[in-house]
Amino acid sequence: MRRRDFLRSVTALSGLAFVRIGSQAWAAQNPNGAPQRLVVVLLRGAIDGLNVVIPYTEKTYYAMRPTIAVPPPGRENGALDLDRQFALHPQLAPLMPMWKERSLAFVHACGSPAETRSHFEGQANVESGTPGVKITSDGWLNRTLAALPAPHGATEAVNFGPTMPLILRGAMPVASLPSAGGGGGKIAAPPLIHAGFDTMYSGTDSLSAAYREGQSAHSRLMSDLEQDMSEAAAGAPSPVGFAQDAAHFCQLVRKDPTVQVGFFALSGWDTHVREGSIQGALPYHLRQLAQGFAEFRSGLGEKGYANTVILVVSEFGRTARENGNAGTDHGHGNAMWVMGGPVRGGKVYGQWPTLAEEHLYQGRDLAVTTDFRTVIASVLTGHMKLSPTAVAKVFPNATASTLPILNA
Amino acid sequence: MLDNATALHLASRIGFGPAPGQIDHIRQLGFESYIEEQLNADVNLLPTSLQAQLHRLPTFGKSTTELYKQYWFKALAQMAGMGKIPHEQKKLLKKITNEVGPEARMARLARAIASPHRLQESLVDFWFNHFNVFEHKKMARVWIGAYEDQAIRPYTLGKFRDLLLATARHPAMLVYLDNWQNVAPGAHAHGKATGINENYAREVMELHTLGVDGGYTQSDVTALAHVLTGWTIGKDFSVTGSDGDEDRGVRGVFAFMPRLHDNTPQTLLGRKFNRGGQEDGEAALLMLADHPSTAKHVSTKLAQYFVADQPPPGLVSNMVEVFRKTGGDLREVTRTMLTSRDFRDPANIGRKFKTPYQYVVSMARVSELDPRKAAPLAEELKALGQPIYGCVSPDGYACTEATWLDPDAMVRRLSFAVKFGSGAYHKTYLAQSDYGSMNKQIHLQPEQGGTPLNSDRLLEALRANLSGKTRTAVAEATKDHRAGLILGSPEFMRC
Repeated sequence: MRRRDFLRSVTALSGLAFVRIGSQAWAAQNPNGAPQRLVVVLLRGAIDGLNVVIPYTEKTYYAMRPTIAVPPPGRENGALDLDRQFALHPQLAPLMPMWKERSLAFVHACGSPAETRSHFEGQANVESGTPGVKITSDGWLNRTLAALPAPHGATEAVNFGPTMPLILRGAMPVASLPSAGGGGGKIAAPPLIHAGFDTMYSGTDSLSAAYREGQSAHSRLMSDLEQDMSEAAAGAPSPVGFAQDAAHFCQLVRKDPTVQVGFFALSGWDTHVREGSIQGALPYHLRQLAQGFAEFRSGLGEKGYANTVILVVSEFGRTARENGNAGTDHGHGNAMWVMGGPVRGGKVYGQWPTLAEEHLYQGRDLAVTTDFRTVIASVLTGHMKLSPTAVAKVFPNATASTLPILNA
Repeated sequence: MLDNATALHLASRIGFGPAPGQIDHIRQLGFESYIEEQLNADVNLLPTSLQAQLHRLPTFGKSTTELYKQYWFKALAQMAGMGKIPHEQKKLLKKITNEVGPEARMARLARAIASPHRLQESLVDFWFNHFNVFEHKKMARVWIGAYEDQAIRPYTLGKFRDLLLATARHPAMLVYLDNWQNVAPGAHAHGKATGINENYAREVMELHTLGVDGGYTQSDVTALAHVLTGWTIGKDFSVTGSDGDEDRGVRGVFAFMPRLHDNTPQTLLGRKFNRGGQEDGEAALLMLADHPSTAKHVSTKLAQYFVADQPPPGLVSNMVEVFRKTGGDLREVTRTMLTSRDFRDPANIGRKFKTPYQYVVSMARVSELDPRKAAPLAEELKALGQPIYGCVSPDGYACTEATWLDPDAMVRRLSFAVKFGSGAYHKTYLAQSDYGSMNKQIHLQPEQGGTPLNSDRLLEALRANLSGKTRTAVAEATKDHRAGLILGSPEFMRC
């Protein structure tokens, strides 16, 4: 967002005639003063988890990927050792401090039980939280909001992007900010002739409800960001892309403790062609992703980070073997990332199926040994304090199980 | 004379709302005659000024072969000297091929705004989404406008099977859903061994024909993928067979390549396909086009677009009957829908929430925006989350309130309504050349001012039966704000 747009919007806002719930007042009523926070990052296009959390001790890995394998730790441009079995892609070096302080974990060989290699279905599965059920019209993150304790403010959840993704669709209101990486580009100027619209949209119909929520969320977001713009201007150069969105989110939550959920979607992971080992399409995008995570780590502050869990998920993984175009095709199992203060990190969780031919899914992909919902449910239970009944509503068809990925 | 409200309903549901004078035209013709006029229009006959505008676009009307040579091939040639830096190459490719997309959007918007064939423009919106192609997939970048003009527009009121086959064979669809790379296991294409790619076979059943519950299984998907092997694009990759004298087809257009085709007999939906060759694929697609599930899937979607988010079951079954009786004659199916009692049911009038596309085009129409100034509307549609040709997933953009109504969307729409009503848009764009500036990122600045749209003319064009609240709000506003309020009113958000 350019500063000029921003100032204009704020000036325009100052005359708006709605009741503002003071965020500070809400925080004062909250005995903890620090609600549990959940950030979900969806990597659309299926990231190649085998080149992110790399099974470098398996010869098969190098045999299957003659041109795109990442060199093992210790070699020039080698991967960064995690636990003597797996290593991290070198472009993710900014994540190593979090690994070392044990606030970053991975769960390998995760995925959906519903078989699909279509991005469209795969993302719908991951967003609806009901793999294989194609008619689900709301998302698991929205159902999570419904399970959080009241009051549900207009900015309880913030989506970065121009439209509401399936994962956030549903009964609960969600606020939106434009994403630096996606279309849109700037926060919509609030309608200047609000008094007239206030009259028109004063009913009980769906448009009026959306109008009022929109006005309320918008004013909250704008005022929260306003206070921080001046602070940010004095600091380092503005981050770009995902890191910029992450910075915006951090600014918001520092000012407004009622923001409990953030959602980001990033694309560019569908690396069928020239995926690259240490340079190429995947490394390029990984670097941007890493910058965003570094931004979360510093921007949330120690207190904020201590109350935040960041989940990274993709619709499915990619083929174990590289294809004829030095890329990878749609696969099955993948690694999920879990980061944040509450995370019992420094560990790669999950049952590793290995890349041995007989253990590959349909002879070509990393198998799935952990349902992606198990990882999310672990966070919802352990971190967001949802009851098993509430989690069963978020994931209606999942078998109840959790992993010990959070600190007790 | 037909009443104002019904005439407004026709103008709103068929072709993105009224332009000044259109309501009178509809009233004079009457309900049935207007629908017949639209159903029987010669859609190739456009007003001279619109025709001229289209033909000034350098890429308009070009064959896919020409587009390939002039844009894609040129891009490849330039990239050849760049080494292996994928994201740098990507940037260059984007720059070169970016000439085509904006012109295609311009051609789409100009016709959506100013063509007298209103039904055609709505049907293009509907059918393009039904057979969606995402612009930014490989060569689809240079073929996206050609796809609409060659595979969608000529067939909107023809036989469904012709529409299906035209999309199946269009290079843009072949690239978008990967069928051009769907080859017999072990066949050598593109310099590497490849095999079955199920992408198109799955989507053509799930989205284009039978529907998700249309009664097919994974083995049908696999079988259809085998049947459609070798349906590819001419000369775009070299074929190296044992005798090396493969007919390579014409570059940039559909080609069936026997060497890439898997002649193994297949069973699809219980029927055997064992003749081999292109014939099997065509027969399979025709079988899908004629399948009862397809009639139901297509009728339901059409009724959802034109009648109600929850389509009336009685209407859908009438449409299905007509679809089946006429061998999928879309003119007959569309006529059945538009002349139905449900289409005119007061419970269905003014109840659809406009998609961003419908909303933006309706604004341009009611305010008589010069279609030559339409380019920045495409930018606005990006901000509203519905970029033209920008739907990544094969299901296309939905048309329901559940998809498009959310709090932020309301704020964005109202902001644009205010900006547009203030005249800022018109002022900014009157200064621009016809289309020369369309590649530039356009940001409309409210403070740039302009002459506010004439609110009396808007009201006259709309003949809207505005609610008391809206009338009060408009009356109480200062004259300069009235147009923005009308364009942002609940009545104008819906159609």
